[in-house]
Amino acid sequence: MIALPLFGFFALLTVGSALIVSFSRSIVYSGFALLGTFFGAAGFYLFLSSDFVAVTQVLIYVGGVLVLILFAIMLTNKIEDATTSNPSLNRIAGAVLTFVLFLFLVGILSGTDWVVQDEEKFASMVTPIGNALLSSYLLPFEVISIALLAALLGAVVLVRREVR
Amino acid sequence: MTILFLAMAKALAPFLALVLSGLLLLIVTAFLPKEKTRLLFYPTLLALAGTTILVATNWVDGFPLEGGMVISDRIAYGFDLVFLLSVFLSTILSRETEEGNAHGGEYYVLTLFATAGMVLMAHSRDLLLLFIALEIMSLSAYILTSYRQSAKGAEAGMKYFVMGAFASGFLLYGIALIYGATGSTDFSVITQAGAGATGNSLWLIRIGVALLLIGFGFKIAAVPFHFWAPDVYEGAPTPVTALMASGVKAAGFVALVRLVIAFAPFTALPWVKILSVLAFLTMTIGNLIALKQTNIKRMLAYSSIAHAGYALVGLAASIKNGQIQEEALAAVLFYMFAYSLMTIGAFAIVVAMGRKGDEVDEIGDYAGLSEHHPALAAAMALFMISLTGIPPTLGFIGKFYLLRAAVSSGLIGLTVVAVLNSVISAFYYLSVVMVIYFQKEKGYRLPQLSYTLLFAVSFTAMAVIYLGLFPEELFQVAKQSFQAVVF
Amino acid sequence: MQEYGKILLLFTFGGLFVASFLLLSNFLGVKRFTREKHLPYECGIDSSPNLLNRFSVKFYLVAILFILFDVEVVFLYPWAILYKDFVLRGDGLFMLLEMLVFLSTLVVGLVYIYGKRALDW
Repeated sequence: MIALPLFGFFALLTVGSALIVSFSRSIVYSGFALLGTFFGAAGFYLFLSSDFVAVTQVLIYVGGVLVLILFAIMLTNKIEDATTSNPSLNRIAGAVLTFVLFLFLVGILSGTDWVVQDEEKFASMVTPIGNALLSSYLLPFEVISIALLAALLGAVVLVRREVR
Repeated sequence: MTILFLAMAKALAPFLALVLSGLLLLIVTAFLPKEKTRLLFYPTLLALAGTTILVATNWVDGFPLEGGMVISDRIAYGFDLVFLLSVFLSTILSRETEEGNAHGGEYYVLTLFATAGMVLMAHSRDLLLLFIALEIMSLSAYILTSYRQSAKGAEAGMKYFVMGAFASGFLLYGIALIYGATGSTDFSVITQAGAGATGNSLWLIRIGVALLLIGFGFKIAAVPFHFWAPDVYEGAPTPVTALMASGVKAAGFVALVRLVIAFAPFTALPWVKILSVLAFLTMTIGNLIALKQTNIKRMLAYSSIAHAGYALVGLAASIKNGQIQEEALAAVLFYMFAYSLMTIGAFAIVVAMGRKGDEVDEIGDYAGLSEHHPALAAAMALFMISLTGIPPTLGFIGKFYLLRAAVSSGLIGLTVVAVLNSVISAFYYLSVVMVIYFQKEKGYRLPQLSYTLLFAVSFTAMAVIYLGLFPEELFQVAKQSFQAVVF
Repeated sequence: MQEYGKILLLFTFGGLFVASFLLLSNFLGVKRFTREKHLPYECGIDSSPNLLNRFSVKFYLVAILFILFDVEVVFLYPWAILYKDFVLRGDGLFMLLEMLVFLSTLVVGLVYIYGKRALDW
């Protein structure tokens, strides 16, 4: 009963922020609007009973990636001068094509036989994910540490001062 | 649980060896003074050589080890040998460019991590592990591409990274769809569960496989996913380009081979058609655009795209009526060996022709090589002839095996196209030979020669000639790798 | 689910609170334009605009390293929640070793950062 307006709120938040990100003239506005998009996505994950993914989303995307994006925006010199890279916008053709795609998608979505299941109770996902991560998916878990190490190495290598 | 763990550790021995040596070198790099980082060259080669011996003895044993998500059968070990050979030779090349010197340490560590990623890709039986291994290899490759702090290197690294991340997105979506359709990401479960798929789940599998092909097609620079390759190959330091052209490409192919083996019984998927179209486009467009190149690294990039196309012919020939044709897959593995040797030889000479950090890039700069260094000129001519596929070189034998497999699978049209493409490729390969021997030199630059480079060039040249004359042993190795396909 | 609803409520009230204050001050506040109020503040002195604000790239390195170790922490959470159950089941040592292997790879990274003085300003 309260779920539908709540879902609508999150949907509005996500899509609205995404529109601001795409269409805003100022890149700083886009960067900050991305915050709304990420929070909206976290809300969606909660609706799907994936609380672990939702918290991870907020922790890593908002706390890490978004901060990094804002750093990059602020570190880039004269970024206010950077406008849309492609001046040939083809607005009419783009709008028509997007609208046709939209109609296509709406048609498919309304014509599909959705298998509607009974609403499941919210079950915390942390324990099953943890169990899986530490038993059947142990090897990918350990190997991910090497991927993180490679990224770490890359960050330090690329940022070092040129010695020439 | 611990038993499974130990079984996995044994099956993963090559991967663990590479990772542990990488970690060790990383700690050493952190505390080594700058002048001494050159010395890390030797431990890296030692690690690679040690892993090669480990893999070779395991291959000879021939007993497939399985543990959870890992499978160590001869297919994996065979491709491991390709990876290790390519990386070994590329690392030798790096000695003479500045990567191995001033900021040395991390270069070698990243090379070892990239190799570890490739090896894990060959050994994985699960799509999830395959993806993570792909990411390890790709991350290391992205960083290696932009290792030299120049504008060109940064541009190349940026392009590679952005396009690679995009392709990973496709890959993940494909994996998710296949998981949705079959309930697992393990290859053996997919093959069983999906074989009887109908209706909706069949469509999910179809789209999932298409997305997987897009993702892997990017990695091997197949057309129309090849746009990143020339810029990236040109902007990266040449030893890294050699590594990418041989090792990374072979890693993409091992993933495709696993995919083909897993999905072969799905007769509802038009495998042969898709792979044939991909092969046709890749060969043709790669060769046609290479005709117009004047920069040797870009030319070699397009040539490597074309060679991926030839190998795709072999892949297309490997499924016939839902059965796997082992000869075709063996031809693909053989071609990976052959192609790596030829390409690294060519890149070795490109490295030789340049000074430290300032490489000779235009084909015209090779004029006059025949008078000053006849041996190098002969070697380059040999590599160009082999890449074209003229007997009795290794390139010819490789293509012969591929096309023989294609003919026996009934892909006559594709065979004709491949032969025509070889003829087209003769134009640009042999033009390099013409420039070397017949063009008047203008300002000849003395190449830096050293023992390591000479070793690399002579080893690859001798391998090309020897294996061109006596390919049977290597082909038998390749064939036996695919004999008992375990899934 | 109820706990997350409470968090949402917290966010909503916080947002409404802040928004109401801003809007109220916008509508109720007096606006008088004075030239001095619109100059950039620099500790009282007059200065010409400083255009070349080159930020050091070290900030970026810190942020990237933060993300990487943050991802490591995210992987630590489920393990930490389940560790007690594992100890009770008798698998405690094995699980500890697993996590130590995971952490040690990243500790090697930490040692590397320390040795290369990457975080030294």
